[in-house]
Amino acid sequence: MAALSVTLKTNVRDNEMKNRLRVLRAEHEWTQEELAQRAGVSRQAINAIETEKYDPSLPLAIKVARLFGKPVEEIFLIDESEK
Amino acid sequence: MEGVLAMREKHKDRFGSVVFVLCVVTVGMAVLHMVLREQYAPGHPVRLAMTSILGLTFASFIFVYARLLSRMDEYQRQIQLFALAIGFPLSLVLIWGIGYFRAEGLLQGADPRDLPAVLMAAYAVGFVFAWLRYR
Repeated sequence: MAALSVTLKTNVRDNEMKNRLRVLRAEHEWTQEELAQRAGVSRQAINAIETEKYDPSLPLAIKVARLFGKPVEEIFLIDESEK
Repeated sequence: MEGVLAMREKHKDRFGSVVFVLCVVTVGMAVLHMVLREQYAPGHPVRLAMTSILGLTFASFIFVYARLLSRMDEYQRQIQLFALAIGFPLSLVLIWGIGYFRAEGLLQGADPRDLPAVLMAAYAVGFVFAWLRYR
């Protein structure tokens, strides 16, 4: 069971994504709930993205980037340090 | 904009209540069915009615689950996908296991009518895995 969990986790986390969502949200003084409403997703989705447990789809990443008025690559980054 | 969001949230809450009521009714009907089917002979109108109602409640889950998925955001759908990715093969293994043990003379009390409970259990296990992965 533990091996299954590790396998699934490893496959999902092959491309480690980092993001600056929490920092930007703090700068705008938005709560997770406010950002979620503006982006049209659940608060849990924003929390999972911030804690880097879930990588957003391209449309959602673009939507979030537009909300903050920044290019996508300034918010979502691929961590290549481990490669 | 705010009004539309508030309305959507309210609608979502109402749909959640519908799903909850449907689950309670289905589980209640399934339990009632298990109790009553022992008291009436096969083909008895009470048994036929109970089976028909139970069949309808199960069938309604197809519609409800599809509607539920369409209302979820991509993160919630990812959790469902993960839950099904574990739940589906697990249910196959469980069903195969029950059939195998029955052929070997074990688990003779197992009834194909109770398979939905096995499927629900497999889905629940998958959902726990998904929840642990994405919480």
